[in-house]
Amino acid sequence: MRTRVLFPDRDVVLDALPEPDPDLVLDLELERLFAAMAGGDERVAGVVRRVLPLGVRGGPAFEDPPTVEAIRYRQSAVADALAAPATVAALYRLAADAVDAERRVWGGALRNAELVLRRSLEVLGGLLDALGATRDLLGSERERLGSAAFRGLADRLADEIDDAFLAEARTQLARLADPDLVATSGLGPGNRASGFVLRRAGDSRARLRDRIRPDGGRGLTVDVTLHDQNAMNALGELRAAAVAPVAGVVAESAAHLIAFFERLRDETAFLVGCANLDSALGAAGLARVMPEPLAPTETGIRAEAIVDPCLALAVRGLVSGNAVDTVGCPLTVVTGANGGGKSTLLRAIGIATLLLSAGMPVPAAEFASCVPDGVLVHFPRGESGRDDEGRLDAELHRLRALVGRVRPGTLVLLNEPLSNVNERDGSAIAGELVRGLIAGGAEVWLVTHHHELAASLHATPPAPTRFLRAARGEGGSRPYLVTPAPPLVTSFGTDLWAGEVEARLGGAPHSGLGGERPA
Amino acid sequence: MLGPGGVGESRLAVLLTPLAEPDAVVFRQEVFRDLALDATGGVLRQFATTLGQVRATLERAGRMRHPAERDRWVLDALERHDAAVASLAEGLTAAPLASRGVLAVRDHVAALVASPAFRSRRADVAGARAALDGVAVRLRIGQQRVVVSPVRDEPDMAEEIRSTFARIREGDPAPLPVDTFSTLDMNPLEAQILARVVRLEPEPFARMACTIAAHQPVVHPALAQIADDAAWYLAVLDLFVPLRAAGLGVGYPALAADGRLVATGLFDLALGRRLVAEGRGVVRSEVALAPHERRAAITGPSQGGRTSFARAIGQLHVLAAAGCPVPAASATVPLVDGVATVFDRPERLDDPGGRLRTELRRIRGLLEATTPATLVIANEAFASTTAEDALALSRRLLDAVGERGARAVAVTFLEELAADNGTVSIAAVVDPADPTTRTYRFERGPADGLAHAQTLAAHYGLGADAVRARIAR
Repeated sequence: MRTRVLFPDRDVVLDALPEPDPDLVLDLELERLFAAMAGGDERVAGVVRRVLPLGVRGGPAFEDPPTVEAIRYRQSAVADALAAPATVAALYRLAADAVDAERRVWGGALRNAELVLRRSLEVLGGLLDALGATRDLLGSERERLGSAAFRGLADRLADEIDDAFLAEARTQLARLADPDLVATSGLGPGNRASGFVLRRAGDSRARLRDRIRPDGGRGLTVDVTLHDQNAMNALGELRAAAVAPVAGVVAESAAHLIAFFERLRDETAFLVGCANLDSALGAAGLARVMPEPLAPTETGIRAEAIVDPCLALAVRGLVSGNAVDTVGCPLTVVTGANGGGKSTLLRAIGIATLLLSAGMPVPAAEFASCVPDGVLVHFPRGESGRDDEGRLDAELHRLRALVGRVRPGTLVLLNEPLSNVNERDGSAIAGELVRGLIAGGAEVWLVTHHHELAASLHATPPAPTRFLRAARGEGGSRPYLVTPAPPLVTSFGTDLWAGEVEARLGGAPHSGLGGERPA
Repeated sequence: MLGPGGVGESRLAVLLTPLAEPDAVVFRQEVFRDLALDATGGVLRQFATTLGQVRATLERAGRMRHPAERDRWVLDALERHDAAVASLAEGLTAAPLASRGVLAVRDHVAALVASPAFRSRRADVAGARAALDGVAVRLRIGQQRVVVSPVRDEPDMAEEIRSTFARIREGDPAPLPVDTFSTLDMNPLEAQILARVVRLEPEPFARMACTIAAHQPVVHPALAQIADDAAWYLAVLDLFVPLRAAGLGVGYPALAADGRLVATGLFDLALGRRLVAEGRGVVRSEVALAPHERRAAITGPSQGGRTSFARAIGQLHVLAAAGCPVPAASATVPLVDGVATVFDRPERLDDPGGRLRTELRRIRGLLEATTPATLVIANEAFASTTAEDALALSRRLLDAVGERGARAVAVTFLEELAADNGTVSIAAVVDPADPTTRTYRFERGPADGLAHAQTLAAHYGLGADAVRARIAR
């Protein structure tokens, strides 16, 4: 039975989802986002860290980028969860409890088919009850859960899990509790009895006759005495072989139901996470908007008052948003002052794009973007304990791996690439890289201090390019505003030094340094 | 099939030992060529596999106590064996054969299959088998009793449950990983039940016993020998299968009576198999030494493929002398009586000082066995001593090999060795466009030290064109 709560064309099987790209998690500081979504529930945490970065991708191995339709399908399910968080949480609880109850009876790795059968019968009984309860909950909350995702699930359950099915299923399970087994068999390899088929023995009169005159007096009975342990074991093995096919069907049916509840649990867990994040961002005083996915023919982003939610959750209300419009531009180059909010903007763009791809609201007043085929990041790394050549080697290594994962339509966020190298070499290598990425059809955001690189991209842009500059506010203050402007020759490190270091040291140049320095 | 002399001549123990007679080499090359064709090789592979299984089954059946169980295994063995012989005959009749070895096998098997005895055996076995397949019984299994009776018309419970629960299933059902019987053979309870089944339906079991008694032995010794020989040929060919598939030339060498060595497309079999398995390209080299050029030195940068090149030369000689295909597109090779190697071996920790002594002792034994038909390969010999010492010792070694009329190939970082009179110098090829890359190719030419510069971005494939090409792939 299909759940289809998060994807229009597939159910979420958590183990089948790829692990999130560790660079993405680290550089965009996604752990903070995951924590806000989890709200202390480890299951929710485990689900969102895989489902969110993946987005509503398609294809057998998630190789296709999200379509606008798939995003809208997800968005409406998320909207249900934001509007009726208690109902979605109840659904999550119901599914989680069904799976947890199963764990308690199932236990370890059973290898004896008869034991498997007994346990499966127990388990199936409980799961059928949970299935009925889920159907009833979705039926009674039909008005509140109006998305295609929830309506579809409610309809399927109403159609397939009718009362007649539940009654018939329980009758069949009750029959299997009879300790006398009747089976047919043929001769297998070595003339061992094999090909067992468990049979439903006739009416009660025929069964009584069986018991009174078991073999019609033809000497076709084998009796086993209780104290012959080997023979009792052999009898157990024979019983197991005879019930194995039925045990297989029953266990398989139980497994299917458990899998159904696992999928339902994990899919609703993601929605619970969306509701948690929404209330956390609301509490931090941030605007949220359900973003508008642009048609696949478009490129670029249009945003009003966009913020980095991870930063906002960390500092609570001290962030101001940026306005960005790069529609039609595959390449965006950000230059300007140190500490001017370049990395923050890059993170905000990366996260907003991930949220869009996952069908979630974005912390902005307005957000519209094309849907990228994945987001890849390249941020500075310590590359500690290496000499210059080793550091360069390591960074080139990372870049080569990144290029190997880029596809046409991928959004690539390059934050100060090759900053460990001298300007000439760094600009040359990074310039080749950016031009290659653009020529290959990727979308690139580049933050750089290498003036030669920015100037060359400005002089001969490989494609329509938006140049943004971290602004220098009045009186040297940093408003974290990034506005359209061509690259300047100098950076503002000396300003920052003056503001951050000398200003804090106060009037006396050596205060706070104790007596170590001569006055 | 391993040598002239007809079916049944076994030389399993000496398979990679150099053959003394050129005709023995040619005989095996003919067989290899026949078996390298998928049709012919497949027919013999199937036969060898089945016969191995049949022999294992019979061995196991011989240890069984219950006749109704044991006889059934023997009956199955008969059935499989005869079916395998029949398809071998059929397959070989249809195959385009050219070798003396496989033609002899074909004639032998075809005669056997056409014999009346073989045909009546197959018919008897099939009849007995069909009778057993018709046996079906009903078992009522209580908690202390099993009752055997004729089958009644009763519905299949698994089917009923499956159809009820069909609506909740999604995707493929995983098979249930349960153990049923703990023993491979029948347990006493099963034997008792089988005895009741025999009582209920005695006829098929009597027929089975008559059939196997009438048709012994199951496996003819000559057929067992064919299976063993074929298994050896196929194992050798299997080494080369992925290499051929990757487009590497695999040839059958001509034997050079005058001692010349010529090979094109030469590569190291072990390294080639690893690179191909990893989907990487294999670099091939050429080598050409005239009859009088009996001493060669191989130089080049470390990790530049020198050892692999030397190994490839050694493999070329060993495999050629055993009548096997070689890792080269084409080759003319002297028939050697052995390839002696001086390869650096990791030394035992308790004997650090004696390393050179141990090496020299090994070389002494090697020289004692060296004849004019021997090839000696030295790989960075005398690495435990100073370069000056190593040079002097290497010259001694090569001189000693030469005095015995044998040929020598030395891999070395001592470029002086390559410049000696009478030594052919083979050096790693340098790419003039990029001296930093290792070509792993070798050519005759003077040894020269190689520079290492780094052109990193290009090396990492980060140029604009390379990046675009990778995205568009």
